[in-house]
Amino acid sequence: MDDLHKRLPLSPAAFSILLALKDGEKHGYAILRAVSEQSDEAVKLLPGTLYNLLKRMLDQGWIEELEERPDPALDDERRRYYRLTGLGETVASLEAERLAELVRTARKRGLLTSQGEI
Amino acid sequence: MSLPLLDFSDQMCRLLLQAYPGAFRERFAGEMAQVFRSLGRETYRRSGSGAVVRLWLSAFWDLAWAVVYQWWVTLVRQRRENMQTNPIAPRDRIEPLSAGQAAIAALPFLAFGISSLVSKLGLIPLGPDGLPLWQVLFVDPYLVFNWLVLIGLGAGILAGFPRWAYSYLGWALLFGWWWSDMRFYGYWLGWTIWLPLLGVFLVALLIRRSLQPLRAMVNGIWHDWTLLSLGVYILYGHVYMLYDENHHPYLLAFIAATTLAASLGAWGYFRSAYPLRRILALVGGLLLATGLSMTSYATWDYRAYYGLPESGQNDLLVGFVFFAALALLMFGNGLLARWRLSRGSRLKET
Repeated sequence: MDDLHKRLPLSPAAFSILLALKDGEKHGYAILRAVSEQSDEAVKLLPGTLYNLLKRMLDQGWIEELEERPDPALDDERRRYYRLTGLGETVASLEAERLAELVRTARKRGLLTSQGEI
Repeated sequence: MSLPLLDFSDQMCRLLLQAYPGAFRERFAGEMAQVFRSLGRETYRRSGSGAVVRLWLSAFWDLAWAVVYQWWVTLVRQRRENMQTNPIAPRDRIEPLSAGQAAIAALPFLAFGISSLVSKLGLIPLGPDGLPLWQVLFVDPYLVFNWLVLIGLGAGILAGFPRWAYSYLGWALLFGWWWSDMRFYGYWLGWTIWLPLLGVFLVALLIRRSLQPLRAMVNGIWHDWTLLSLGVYILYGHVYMLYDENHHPYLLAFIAATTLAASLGAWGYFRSAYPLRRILALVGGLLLATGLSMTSYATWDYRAYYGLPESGQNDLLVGFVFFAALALLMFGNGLLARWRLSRGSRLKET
C-alpha cells in the first residue's frame, strides 16, 4: 500500500481515466467521451495524452486489455477495450480519499460553500 | 470541403504517428488513428470544419509532446529503470568464479612454479640418461605437474567443463606442444606426448556418455574471447616461471615470487566479470612477472656466467617493449571480447 501512496497524487487526466473505466470496459474513444462527460468537459483528452496514460497504466497493472471485444459484429476490429484491475481500483480509491480529505480541509477553512456531503 | 479536410486530417495523424518509437507504434498507432478519426468526425458533425482546424491545433501539440515523452521513456527512463533493477548486468558481463573456484583455476600456475622450484633444487637426482621411461614419467617434476594438470582437466570434463577447466586445458595444450619437441633423459616422445591428453578426453567423455562437455568447452571459448589471452598468458607465464638457464644466486626467490605473481593474475582473471578487467588482471600478472624476470637478469650477469661476448643490446628496453606489445595485444583482444559479448547479448534479446 505504501508503494501505491507514492504514486499519488494522480494527474486529473489519469484519475479521470480510472473513473471512466470504473463504469465498465471501454475502448479508447469511449474513454475520451466519458472523461469529457464526467467532468462537464472540464477535462478534455486528446489521443496523444490518452495513449501515453493508457500505456503507463497497462505497464503498472492498473488497467488491462480485454482479450475479446464485447460485440465484435458491431465493432471496428482495430478497437481495443480496457478495464480496471483490482490494483487500478485501489489506486483510484486512494486518490479519491486524498481528494476528499482536501475538500474536507477546504470546507473547514470556509472555502467551500456548497452543502455536498464528503 | 469537409470530407477532404477530414481525409487530410487522418493522413496527417498517421504521418505523425510514424514518429513514435517502434514498439509503441506497433502496439497503439492503429488504435490511435482510429480514435483520432472518430474524434475528427464527431467534432465536424457537432461544430463544423472550423472546429476540426481548432482540434488540429491542439492535437498537433498533444501528439508532438506525446512523441517526445515516449522517446524519453524508451531511451532514458527504461534504461535507468533497468539499471536500478539490475545494476550489475551490463551486456558484457560473465559470471565470475567464486574465490575457491578461481583458486582451483590458478592451481596449475602454482603447481608449475613448484615444479620449476623442485627441478632447480635438484631434490630428485636424475641422471642424464639410463632411467627407464616409466620412472622418468613419474619422477620428473614437470611430468608430475603434467599428470596433475591432466587429472584436473579430466575432473573438469566430468563436471561438464566449468570455467576453471580452461586453465587446465591451456596448460595441458602448452605442455604437449612444449614437450613434443624436447628430448629428456635420452627419450624423445614426439607426438606420443599428446596421447595422455587424448586419453583423458576419451575416458572422461566415455564416463559422461555425452559430448556436452566438449560443446560447453567450444561454446565457452566462442562466448568469451579473452580465453585466448589466457592462453597467451599461460605461454609467457610458463616462460617466466621456468627461468631457464638462469643461475642467479637468488633464483629460487625469483621463481617463487614470479609463481605467486602469475598465480595471482590468473586468480584475478577468473574472479573478474568484465572482459577488460579480466585482461587487466592478466596484464598485471604479466607485468609483475616481467618485472621480476628483468630484475633477475639486471642483477646477474648471464653473459659473464656463460662467457658470452658483450653486446650493445639494451635487455631492459627489449623486455619492456616486448611486454608493452603483449599488453596491447591482450587489450585489443579484450575490446574484441567485449564487442563479442555485447553483440551476443543483443542478438539474444532480439
